[in-house]
Amino acid sequence: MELIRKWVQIVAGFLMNGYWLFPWSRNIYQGPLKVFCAPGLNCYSCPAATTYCPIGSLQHFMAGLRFSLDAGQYYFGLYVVGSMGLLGGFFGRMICGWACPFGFFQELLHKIPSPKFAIPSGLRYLKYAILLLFVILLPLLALDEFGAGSPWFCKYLCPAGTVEAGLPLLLLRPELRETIGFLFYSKFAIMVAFIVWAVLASRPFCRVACPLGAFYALFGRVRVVKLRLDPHRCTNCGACHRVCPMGVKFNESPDDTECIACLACMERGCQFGAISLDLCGVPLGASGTEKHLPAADKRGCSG
Amino acid sequence: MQKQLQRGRKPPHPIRKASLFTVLFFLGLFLAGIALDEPARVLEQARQICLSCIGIG
Repeated sequence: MELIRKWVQIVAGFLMNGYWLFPWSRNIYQGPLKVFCAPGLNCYSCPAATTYCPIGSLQHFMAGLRFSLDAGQYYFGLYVVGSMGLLGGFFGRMICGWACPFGFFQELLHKIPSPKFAIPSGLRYLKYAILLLFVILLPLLALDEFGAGSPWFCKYLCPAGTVEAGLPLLLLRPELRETIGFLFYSKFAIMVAFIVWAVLASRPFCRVACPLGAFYALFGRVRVVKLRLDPHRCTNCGACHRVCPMGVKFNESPDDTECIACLACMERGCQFGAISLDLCGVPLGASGTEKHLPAADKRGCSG
Repeated sequence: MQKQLQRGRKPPHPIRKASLFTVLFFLGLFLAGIALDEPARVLEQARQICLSCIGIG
């Protein structure tokens, strides 16, 4: 299953970044596919991007809301929120584990041999503040002298934008190098910090700062596809804790908002078939059978 | 006999209605956005490079 997930991540990454004519066109993709929402965090100013970034687009709607209302156009971003909500309603944070290019990038970085560290669980709440402040409130309320807002998250924080769009565009268009200043260097420093952190800890950006992950996390309890715990089979041995890349203690909180449904706990952790995949309440997959140990051994494995 | 059959039968898995309502709610938002012609606005934004958004310029 882990191999399948890797292939899904690769294919999703290529589908969201499938415009490979950019070295010749020296421009980003401008075709009709850009009306479709990228499920993961994927900057739409990336020269290869074929879809729009929901977080970038939502900020633009918030930043331009007053202008559009003044012009008699009712652009509230419902299309973007609807697209995000449909994806979140079906898959929730499973998208982070299966279809986000920046999540995949962090997974690859974490494979670099180095000392590994845990991330304090309290930091998880920072991403909700980032979603609320940098994606919604500041673009909506912090206006310039012309009455226009800014996409604060893209402009000041997003390391995915620097990796996927800022650096490639500077390589592609040398004339832009003269225009970079403090803003770019500060974003570059944020990107480097997250890259180093991703080597040392598992998926730090997803866990601490990703506003799209925060949005999808809101669907933790109600998403259509989720993992289910069978309490009768669970021995509380803690094997699911040890394999989880997001630091979830699945047997203690099966609806944890951090769960990216990568299935590591189901496939590599639980030996008792206590974890299964669930589609809208109907169990799928490996809930029916204990995998390796007979019932007598279950009693012996509790820690 | 009837009781034995009932005991042996697995309990049914109730469909999570909250999941369906959530999906339907956001489907409604999605369709409302289309009715307001928001996809054209999204396309217009996504076709432009916003240099200041990525820290350049």
